[in-house]
Amino acid sequence: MAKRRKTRPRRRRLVRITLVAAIGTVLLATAALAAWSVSLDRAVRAQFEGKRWAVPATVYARPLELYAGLSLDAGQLREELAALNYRQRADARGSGTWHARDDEFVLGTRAFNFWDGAEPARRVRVRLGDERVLAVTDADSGEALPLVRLDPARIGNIFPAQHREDRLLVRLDEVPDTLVAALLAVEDADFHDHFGLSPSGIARAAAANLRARRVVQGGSTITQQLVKNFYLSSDRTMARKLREAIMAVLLERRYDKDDILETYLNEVFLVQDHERAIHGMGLASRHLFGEPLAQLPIEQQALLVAMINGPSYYHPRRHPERALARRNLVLDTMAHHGIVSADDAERASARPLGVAETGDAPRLSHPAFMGVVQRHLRRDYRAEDLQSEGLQIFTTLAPSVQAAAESALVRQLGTDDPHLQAAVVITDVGSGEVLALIGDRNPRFAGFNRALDARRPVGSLIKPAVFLAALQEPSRFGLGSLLDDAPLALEQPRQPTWAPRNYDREFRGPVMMVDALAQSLNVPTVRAGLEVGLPAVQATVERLGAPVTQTAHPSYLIGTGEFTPLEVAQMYQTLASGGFRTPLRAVRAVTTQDGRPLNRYPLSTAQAFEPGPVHLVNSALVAAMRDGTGRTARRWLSEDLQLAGKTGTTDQGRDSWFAGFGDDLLGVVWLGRDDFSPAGLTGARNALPVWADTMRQLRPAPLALAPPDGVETVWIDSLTGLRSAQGCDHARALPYLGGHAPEAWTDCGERRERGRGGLVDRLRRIFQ
Amino acid sequence: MKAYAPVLCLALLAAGCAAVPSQQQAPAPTERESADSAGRDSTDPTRRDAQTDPATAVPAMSSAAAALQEEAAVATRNGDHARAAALLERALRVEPRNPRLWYELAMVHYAQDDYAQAEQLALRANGFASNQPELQQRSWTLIARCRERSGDGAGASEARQRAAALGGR
Repeated sequence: MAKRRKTRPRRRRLVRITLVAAIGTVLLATAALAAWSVSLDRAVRAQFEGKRWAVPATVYARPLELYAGLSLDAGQLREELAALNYRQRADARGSGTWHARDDEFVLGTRAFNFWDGAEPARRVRVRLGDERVLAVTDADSGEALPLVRLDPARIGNIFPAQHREDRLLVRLDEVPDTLVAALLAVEDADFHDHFGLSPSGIARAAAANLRARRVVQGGSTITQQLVKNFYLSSDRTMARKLREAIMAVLLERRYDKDDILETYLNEVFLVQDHERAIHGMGLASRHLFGEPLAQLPIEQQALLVAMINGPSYYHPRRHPERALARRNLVLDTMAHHGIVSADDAERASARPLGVAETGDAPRLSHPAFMGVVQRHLRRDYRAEDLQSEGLQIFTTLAPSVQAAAESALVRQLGTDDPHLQAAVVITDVGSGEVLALIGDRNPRFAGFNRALDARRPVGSLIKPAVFLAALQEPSRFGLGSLLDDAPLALEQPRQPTWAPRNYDREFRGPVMMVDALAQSLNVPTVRAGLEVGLPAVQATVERLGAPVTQTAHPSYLIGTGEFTPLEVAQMYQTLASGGFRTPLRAVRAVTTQDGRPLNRYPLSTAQAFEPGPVHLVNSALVAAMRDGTGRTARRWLSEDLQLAGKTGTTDQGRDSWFAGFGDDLLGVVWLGRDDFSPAGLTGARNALPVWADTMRQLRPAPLALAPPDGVETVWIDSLTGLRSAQGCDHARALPYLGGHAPEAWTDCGERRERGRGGLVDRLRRIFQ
Repeated sequence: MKAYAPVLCLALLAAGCAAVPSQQQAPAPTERESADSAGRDSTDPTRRDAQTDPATAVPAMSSAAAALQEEAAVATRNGDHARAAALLERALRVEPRNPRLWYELAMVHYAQDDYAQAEQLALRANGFASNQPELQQRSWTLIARCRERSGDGAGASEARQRAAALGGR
């Protein structure tokens, strides 16, 4: 008994230990599984809620606005349509199409929701003539349309550095029912009944694959595929399969079927377009067919469903036969499930793939412009948000203007000096918008952006600032004031004596201020600058909108100061707009993906100078174009076209600059070598042709040069700088600030003025 | 610098010499009449009289700019100033030298309590309005209000004087 007693407890203890161990193991395993599930659940929720996708920001060019009177030729309109990826189609039916006969264009525009108003898709007839839009009418009704705003061309995305996924999110109700039904029929027939996993689906897929002797169906549910896509790991271990299965079940428990379906439709990878991975039905539709998803006929819906199975194997541009066969298999399946009638499926099977030749990707990259956009946005947005929030960036790039600047650069730069580099800035005078930007001799090259970052001496481009500083003291300086063009030697403490020379190394004796600027004479400029003072000149530069970073040496007056092309554009912009400084802008607005405005960057302007002195400087810059250093522009531009402009050259031809403007357009061109080595350049010979060839294509409005209130025309004797009159020898008509004309007269001037009854002036002299 | 022209003008006027030609001088009588009639409540942005008044030699606005201006007026009436500003900026891209559009954009900024920008835009309007004294007068009135709101009393009274010289009320 004792023995039995002894053995029984021992056996019982063994059983107990085993039991406890077993239960413990089960409990532990369950706990571990539970803990794992909790962590997986958290992962599922993190993926599913809040931010489900990183959607890169889309960057748009400015939308082209068409209206009667707009300066536009057929070539420019074609350029804009090419940037928009509009397709040529004989009837211009359907959105994103066009057709032209001679100067008459018919456009099938795309609808677009701008934050300040929606533009519908419509057929528009645009009649061109004399390099202008003559009329814009509704192509169907013939009704005149005051203004048609096209959709904006997409010029790029802001991707994160590594995976470049792109998508266009769609809501489930925007997806055609037939497409959803086809998707389920092919990928997951039990979708609405299973709990995330589908044993019968696996069996059916296996059977179908056996029947077809190849893989026509996958065994995993849409939910499983979705889970798989959330994680980029590609190992095929059992642990991963188990994890996917648990997560699929968790996903189904937490979210309803429509949520899962919608997510799947946006997540699924469909096309690789160069470096860009196109995910989701929305973007794939636009990329392949150029149409929104809701407008696809059934064969195109079937193609999208067909591609899920093997995005590269069934790539319709690379493997059209495979894609067609697979598409028709999907159409058969659709008929089999009663989604479409057998007749419709058959008819659809007979149709071609219908894939557009070009994708939706921007036709050209604009690295320099994208650079200025990103720099601008960095002030207000974090890089992660730009890469992931699907923001829409509306910029100021004008594709046809960019194309004109690029073609002029390619034509005029030549191939003699492969080290010669270039930067071009084109802006709109009224708004300060940057219309085009080039930062490298190869405009497609994304590297050092010279338009923004090359800080170079500007040579004579600084002279308008020197003369503007002087002309703000009208009691001391007028355009007719004489400056002595004679040898000048400046002694400076602990530095060699500085003796500025003119470009031609000649001295002319006394010259009028207007001629000193128009002929770009160094010595008279230095004299004027020293008289008005270096601090006044630098203050003027700052008010024009460019930074003053260097301590001034008198050589600053003839352009040793260094500026970037964009800063030069900002300075000349202030001159072009009559003394109003308008910060240059490359971004108009940023909206969320659904078009809600986040930031608007409105036009802003501030009067930096009285209009009078700016008008005088601009008059001298017009003289520079007419008879001064800019006159060779006539080779490209009509003599009747009044423009203002200035050349700039630095020591040993290291830098060649040209800056100039009409009433509406401003351009700055810089050429030089990155290593600052002498390149034998001059502003007139090298940068000017690029500028003039660009402007020839863009046809700027002539500079009206309307004298502002308080400016009057005065005749000045060019030899003495005295007051003269019309008809006298050496008399030149110059604008003067009211009341500041020279008081002393030439004999001829006095005689003629009296003869004409110069009562007014004599009275003024009495009262002054 | 800024003050030389009015000072000169005042000095000349004080000397009793009304015949001295000056750009600051009052405009011709017919123009002054039309300015008078439009001078009341001259900062109401919805007024369109300068456009339609045959007495003023205001160039006709293109239908594109007019359509945008009309839409902007509707947005202003609905209190949607951001949209009104965007529409007027579009109109200005069509007609960048139209002083009326600059002035209306100034009004929108004024309505948004952005007095500094409103003043600058009104100054810019004036730069393009040398043959439109009525518009200049409204613009100076707006500038005066902006300066008052931003506490620049001296600047405001200078602007009022310039408005008065143009409107002559």
